[in-house]
Amino acid sequence: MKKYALILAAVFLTLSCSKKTSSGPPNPPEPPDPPPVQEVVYDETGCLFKSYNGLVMAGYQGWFAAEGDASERGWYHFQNGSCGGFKPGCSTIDFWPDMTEYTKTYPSPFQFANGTNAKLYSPYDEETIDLHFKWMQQYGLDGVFMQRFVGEIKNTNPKGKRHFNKVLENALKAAKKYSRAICVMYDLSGCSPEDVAYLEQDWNELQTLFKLFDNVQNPTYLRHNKKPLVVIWGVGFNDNRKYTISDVDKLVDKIKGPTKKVSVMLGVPYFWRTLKNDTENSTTLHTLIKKTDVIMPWAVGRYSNDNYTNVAGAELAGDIQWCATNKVDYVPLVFPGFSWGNLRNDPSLYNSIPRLKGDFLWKQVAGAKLSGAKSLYVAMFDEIDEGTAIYKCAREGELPLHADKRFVGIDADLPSDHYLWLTGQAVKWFHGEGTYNSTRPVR
Amino acid sequence: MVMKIYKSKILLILTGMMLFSCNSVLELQPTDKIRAEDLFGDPQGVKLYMANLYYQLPIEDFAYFRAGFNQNGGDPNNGGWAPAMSADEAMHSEFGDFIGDGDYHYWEPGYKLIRDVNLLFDAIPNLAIRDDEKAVLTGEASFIKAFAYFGLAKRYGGVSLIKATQKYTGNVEDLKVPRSTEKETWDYVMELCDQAIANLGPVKGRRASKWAAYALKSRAALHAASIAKFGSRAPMSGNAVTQKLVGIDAADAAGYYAACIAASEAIMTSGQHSLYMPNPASPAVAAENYRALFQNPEVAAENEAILVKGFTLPGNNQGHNYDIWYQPAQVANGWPHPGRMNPTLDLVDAYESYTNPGHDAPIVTTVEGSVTDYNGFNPALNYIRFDSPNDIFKNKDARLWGTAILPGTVWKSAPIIIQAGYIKPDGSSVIRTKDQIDVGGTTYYTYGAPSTTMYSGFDTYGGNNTRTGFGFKKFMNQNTPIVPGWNQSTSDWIEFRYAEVLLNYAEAVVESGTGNAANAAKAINDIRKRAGHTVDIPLTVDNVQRERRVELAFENKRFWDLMRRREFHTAFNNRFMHSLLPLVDLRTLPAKYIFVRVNTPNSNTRTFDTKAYYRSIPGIGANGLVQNPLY
Amino acid sequence: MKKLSYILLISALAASSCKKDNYDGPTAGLSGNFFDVATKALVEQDIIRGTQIEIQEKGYVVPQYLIVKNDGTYSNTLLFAATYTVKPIRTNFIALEAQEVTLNGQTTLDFNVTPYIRVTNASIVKSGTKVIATFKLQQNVINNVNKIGLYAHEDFRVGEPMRQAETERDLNAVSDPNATYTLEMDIPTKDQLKTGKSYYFRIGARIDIGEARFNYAPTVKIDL
Repeated sequence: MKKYALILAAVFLTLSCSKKTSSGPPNPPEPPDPPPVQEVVYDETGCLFKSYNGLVMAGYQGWFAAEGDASERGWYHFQNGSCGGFKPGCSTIDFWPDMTEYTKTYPSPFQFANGTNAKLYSPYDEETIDLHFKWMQQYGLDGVFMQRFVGEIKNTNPKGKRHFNKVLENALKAAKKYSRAICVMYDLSGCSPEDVAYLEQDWNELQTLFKLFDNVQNPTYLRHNKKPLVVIWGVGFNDNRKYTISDVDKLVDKIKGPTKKVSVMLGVPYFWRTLKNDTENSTTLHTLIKKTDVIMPWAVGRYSNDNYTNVAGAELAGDIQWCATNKVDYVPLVFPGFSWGNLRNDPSLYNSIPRLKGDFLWKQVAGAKLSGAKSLYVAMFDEIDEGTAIYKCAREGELPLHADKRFVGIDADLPSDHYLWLTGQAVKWFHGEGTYNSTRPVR
Repeated sequence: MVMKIYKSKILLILTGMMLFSCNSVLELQPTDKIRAEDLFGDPQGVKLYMANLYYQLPIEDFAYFRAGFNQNGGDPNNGGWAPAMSADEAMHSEFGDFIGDGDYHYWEPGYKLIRDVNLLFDAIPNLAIRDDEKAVLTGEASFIKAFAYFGLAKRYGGVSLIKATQKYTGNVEDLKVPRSTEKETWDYVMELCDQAIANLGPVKGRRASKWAAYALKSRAALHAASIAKFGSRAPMSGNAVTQKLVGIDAADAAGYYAACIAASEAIMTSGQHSLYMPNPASPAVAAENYRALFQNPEVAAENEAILVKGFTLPGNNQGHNYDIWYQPAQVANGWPHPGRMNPTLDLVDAYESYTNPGHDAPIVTTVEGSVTDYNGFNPALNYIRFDSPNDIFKNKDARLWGTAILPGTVWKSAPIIIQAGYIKPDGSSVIRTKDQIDVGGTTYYTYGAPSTTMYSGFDTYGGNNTRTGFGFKKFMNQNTPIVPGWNQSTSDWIEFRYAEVLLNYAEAVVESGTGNAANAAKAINDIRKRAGHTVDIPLTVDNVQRERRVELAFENKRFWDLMRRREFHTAFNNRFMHSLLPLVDLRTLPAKYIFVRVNTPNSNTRTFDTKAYYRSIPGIGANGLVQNPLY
Repeated sequence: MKKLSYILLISALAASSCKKDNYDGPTAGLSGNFFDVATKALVEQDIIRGTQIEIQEKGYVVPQYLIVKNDGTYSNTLLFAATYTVKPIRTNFIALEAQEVTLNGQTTLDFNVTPYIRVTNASIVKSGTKVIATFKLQQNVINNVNKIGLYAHEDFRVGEPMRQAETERDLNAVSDPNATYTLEMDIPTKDQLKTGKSYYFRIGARIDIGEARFNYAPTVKIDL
């Protein structure tokens, strides 16, 4: 039945392309096709996630490290260089994880009002990532995209590389255990053109190291269009990056190769289709997108609850139509809110995009669903630097002291798993279960 | 006269330089013209040069019309069309135009002024004058340049910023400068204002003072802030939008509002300027004070007037034509086309009544009370009967009486007769048709008098006479008879006055939600008090805009208020302007006056096309600039 | 002497410029329809301030704009044969990509589009002194509907931008697909409408998206 619906959709799409007839002479014949190259065929027996369509997945940063863990990276990504480290009055994080269920914890430089130490976790520890994936299963989130920052995994940064490999190793194991989809997502931010090229080497290493494409070893590694999926995030942004669209275009050609080894999802700027605002004004971006399998436009910070419909309504409709016409799958991004007062040392930026108890998140979920999206990307599972995390965070009134700064908590009248639960409701809607509409569901 | 000749010589020099710079074949030293180095070598020459720069300022004064600035040369005949008629302030007695693509441009004159002022900047370091004199000159030059870019930015959005004199080195392409973003352009205006403020002294006079520079900054910052805040009311698309050559991000509004507040406060706290006649004894006195301020701004030289542009002598390029076009037919003194500025009922409605402070006070004509029925005289309605043709305006804000000639009020010793017709004793009406009737031994005329020199309304003879029911008073010279010829009016123009600064301040505070709300409320109430009001009203967006509309009426601000606040396209969507027909009701004796609200006769609806929020960039074929949306 | 040489120069320029201008006249054209991709019906438009088709000849900086007729068709038969980038702009349907079209003679180009709003089950009837419009709205994007309106004009090209009378209601909300909307126009209150004459009426609705144009139901002629 579902398949029929898809076929119908395809017919619909073809019709939506404009038809052109001309009284002039017919077009010259097409040049002969090059000799066919055999596409690689993967054994997908036992694979649990053969397409991103219908799934709701989140981004997983996993970049934190705790002083005293085996990563030897100190308070990595908790500490803020602009104010001297990780201590009361200085941090990158706005939200504080709800540490109740973690079995392996580390004392932090922070204390609660009652004088007890505020503990933190490290994703370098297997049991910690196990817990995160257990939550995913418990609340229904289909899986996560493991962030891999090209700037941090180069051979010149052995601890960084070791860190992200260990986190990925932990995650692959947990994903298998809890039947959660998992996928590698490269983030090109801060890359030079050489770094972009290096990505291919790292990607090849990972495939061998973890047997990523082995349907028995990694049955939950995400597949799409009959190939394992890899994500390249950060192309087409007009924020003066050192690499170009052309660098990424070459990279996509290489990692796909003539045998189309993988499917590729691109992380693009929000206004990718109209090439305005955050997007470089170059149609080569469209040429590149048409070569890939899925795109996910970056929506964090592009709207708030008040102007979401106005900003996103036309973009979603136009994007989905464009992607249908050009046979690229489309995944909109949703995020619960935004807060980076500590990262930016600016108290006016606490809750700069308010969560509104989930109204904002649900408005985007409903907007995407009602516009015809088939899947979602949730930013992010564990991002507490920018306050987009959906995992369990401490509530207002249960936060450590922060000298002249403060931490931002989940509303005191909500449980700490509220955003995990709400995301789970979105999953159900996208799976076609339950009855949902634009009103946020009540627990 | 000497000065005039000198000025035209300077123009010749400039034109000469421009032509000659194009072709080396023509590089001859003219013997009958002054060379630039000789001019700037002489302090008197510099003074004259400054006079010429001031003359070129884009001041929207009595000589500003659709064709641009300084339209008071040898052939200033534009039929008396004024910018107020492109807004909702007035109708022209004859024409039905609105806003054309070619109207209100300021491109070449703007860049000519910028070029001229850049030459001055080049010359200042080498002048044989004291350093403090150089500073003032630098301040004036910055003020003039800021004014020029303000004139460009509000019409075209982001424009090419020619920050220094361009040198031609053989390649025309090198002279082409792409447009900057709209934000960069406004920021440059702000920067130039700051430069002017830093260098200018506090001395008042006919040249720019520090206060004039603050006032310019106050006005320009409010304009930029409004575009940022209200741009989303009129979304646009196209290359110019994508490249941010038009439009400013909403997030930038706060900075411009703050700049407006700061600049306005600098004037308000200086003690150097204040309102003219701030405490009138009665509304009647307030009305006369208000009228007098514009008839001769010299009366407010020490308080309200911040920068005045003089129209000192009659004559081409010196006097102007407001009195011939706009005074009523009864005082035309032989001029064939008077009475052409017709304030609209829409504007008249906006003036408060002293009996209901803080609200528009639409003119109520019937017992039934509808103020939205424009269907014409309807015998079924109970029209309110008045003894005099202006009783209906009793209690309306003094500024209405000082701005418009109301039916039956006295102007130059004559009661000005504005009447559209009568209702016969049998109940039939004769409206806007020349006719007469004898009732009870008295002859009644539809237009209120037997001949065209004896009345001033509704007879379309010569395309003259008000068709809205209101004549024009503000700026008119009551003291001397009209001289029926071109460019004979010499009333001066106030470009910046303290009341505008107060209004800018109040708007910036209420729109931004920042600053001192109590001071802002006081600002609008001080202006109202000067107009005879005794009850304060709260600081609200509507109250500020109403106050702007009535206080600054016909000062060519309303057009830009509708523009910058992006209200033009909603205010003018198939809109009729409206008139008030005063009729003599002969169904009762003695005869009474009744009034009928109607769509302005012989007019069509007007619709503002959103593309007109920006003028088209001229000459893109040659200058290669990106065109504004929809042109 | 010098003057003479100038005159010669100018004449030479003038002469040569005459010779250069030997391009063919505009012999090509572009016409077509805007079809609703789902219902196959023409998508109603406005002839003034309505959807436009931006066409830009390859190598030229300045685009041209074609207007669209009220019924959703368009036609311009005086274009130069060349390759153009064609894109409908300021539309009342979900944005389309620009496409390249080579004009060679009279060319037909249809657009299959998803209107922002479909005005369905529309009825406009005269009842006493009133004209009453009822209709449903089916919107295809998640944005609010700003406004619905009933517009009247003696010309058949009636619409929001071209009307002598209107009854409008601000919605500023997502429309309810199950609701029947009603707009009434009381003729005696409309000073531009005269009884005894015929007028064209049209129901419109505008989505809250940037420069979006109104969507309409087909025009109905009514004798007042």
